[in-house]
Amino acid sequence: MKCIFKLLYILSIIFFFTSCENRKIEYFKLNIISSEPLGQLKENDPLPTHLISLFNYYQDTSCIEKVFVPKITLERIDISPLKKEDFEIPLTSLNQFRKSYDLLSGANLIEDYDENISKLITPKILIEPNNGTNLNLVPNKHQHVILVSLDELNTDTINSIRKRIGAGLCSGNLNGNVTILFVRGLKDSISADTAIVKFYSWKNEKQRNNSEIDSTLQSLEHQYPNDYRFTVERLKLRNEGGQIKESDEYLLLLAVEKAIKEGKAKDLLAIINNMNLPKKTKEKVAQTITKNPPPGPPINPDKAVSFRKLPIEGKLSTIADASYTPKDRKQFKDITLEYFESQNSQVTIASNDSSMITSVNTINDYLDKLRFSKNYKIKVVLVENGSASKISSIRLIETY
Amino acid sequence: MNNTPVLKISLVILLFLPFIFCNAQRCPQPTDSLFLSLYKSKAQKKVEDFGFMLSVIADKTTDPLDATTAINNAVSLFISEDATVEISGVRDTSYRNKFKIREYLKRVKAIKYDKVEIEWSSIQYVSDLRLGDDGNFHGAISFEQKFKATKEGFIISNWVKKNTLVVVKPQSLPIDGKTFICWEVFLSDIEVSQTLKK
Repeated sequence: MKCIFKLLYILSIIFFFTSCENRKIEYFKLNIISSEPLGQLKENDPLPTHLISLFNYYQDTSCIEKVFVPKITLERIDISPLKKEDFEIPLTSLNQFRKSYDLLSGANLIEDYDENISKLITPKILIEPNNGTNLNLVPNKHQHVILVSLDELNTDTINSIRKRIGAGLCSGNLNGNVTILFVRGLKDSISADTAIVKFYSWKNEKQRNNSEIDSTLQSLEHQYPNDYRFTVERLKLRNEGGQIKESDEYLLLLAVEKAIKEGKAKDLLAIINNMNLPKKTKEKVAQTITKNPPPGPPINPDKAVSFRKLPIEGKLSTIADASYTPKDRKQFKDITLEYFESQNSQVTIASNDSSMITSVNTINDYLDKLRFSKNYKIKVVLVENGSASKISSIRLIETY
Repeated sequence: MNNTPVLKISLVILLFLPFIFCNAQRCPQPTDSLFLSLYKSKAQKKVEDFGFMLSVIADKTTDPLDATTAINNAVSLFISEDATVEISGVRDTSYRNKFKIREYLKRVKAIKYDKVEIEWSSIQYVSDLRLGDDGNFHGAISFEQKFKATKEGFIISNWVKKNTLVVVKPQSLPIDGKTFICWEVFLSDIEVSQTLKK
């Protein structure tokens, strides 16, 4: 009997170290490079939440059985000699022990990260003053570079980067190596015209693979959201043999939408006509452009004025009201977006008692869902304001 | 031996510890009492929304860009682009054909009639959500579809009963910088079950 107990005891100890669930941990290299000290931070101050979220573990819907954990390296390219150091997220001693014997499960790690990551403090390397070193902004030696403008370093930007990294790691496109380059003035000091010229010269500088070009174009699209040319370049990249895959058709539509909004539809049409595309596709683009003149003032100003007076809850419920025409609902959506910090501001849908989250979306996608749906009643539970009193995130309850 | 009770207690504690520390979710999980009722009504609402989107896409007055957005939104309600929709013939009611969801919606958008109206009603469960072998929950919802199209004064119409499969599956969602496993409901293949009236 004693022997059985002892055996069970040993088994339970092994079970204790290896249990929870079978989500596999995959480590990847995350190089974070900055061209200047980050913001107004002080050494040992709490790290800002957007950076914390970047350092956190990654998951994606396409491979939920995996947890991707970054091995972080921080680098400053404006300090001479270049400064580089590793940055580790602390684990409990028990999990550190498990990790050293390869017994750490995804759940063990997630628990530790959820508990400890918010307590991270600012390392010295991120705040050290610049000592006048010249920068080399095109990081040729790194693969899969994501450029982030320091002027746009916020939760939305980081969330969209997280999504890209998660999806890239799942699909294997990132080869376990990601570099994020923080630089200032990408948007302010370089016009879109200059950026596209720079892009061409960067692309032609040497042989580059498609995923590298695509990743750079996505960063440029993010920096210049209204310029259709970066979207067209992505389309060209994917347009093999004169055919657009069905899954890439949205790029064509996106480019058309941007060009119409910016009054550059004719320029886009000229580019599309010179591309090796089916005649039918070219005709479709021309037709869409003819039917959609650049946006003018609201069709019914009175309706817009009274809509603006509604509280945010009323605005959302009105967009979901199927008794309005699709044109009105589109106009209401555009007005509502003005109240949000960005099109990517987070919308969280909660259960009726608000105790649990049932889904998450960006405000742009959520409003599109509402304007093509039938009669949701929206109750706002929580609104978080960001800069200039615009809404950075919102939590809602839907009833129907 | 004196330390046997200590051994027993510590054994029990050790066995249960992992379970105590493993659950820290904020999204409804199958073990929650509201799980099934929540996703049941969500699925029903998605079917209703899809029917509405279909009417917007078919409506000849809908702006082409809006129709494209509606198509993308409608496709996102489905489990994958491979989900199919079965149609029956308007004149020959025994005729059946299947299209992938995006292809189907593009056809609806391109129907060459002056006016097209599609209306869905009587949306109800024919098979409740049940846990399947794949770890997802599956169910089936039936609805009635009235189709009416006008061209140069002539009207064609049909009225069919259809079934759609619904799937509730887990997916990871980034919330406040963390990732959570939440469940989401999706529509799957739609099939014609009965022609009610020409």
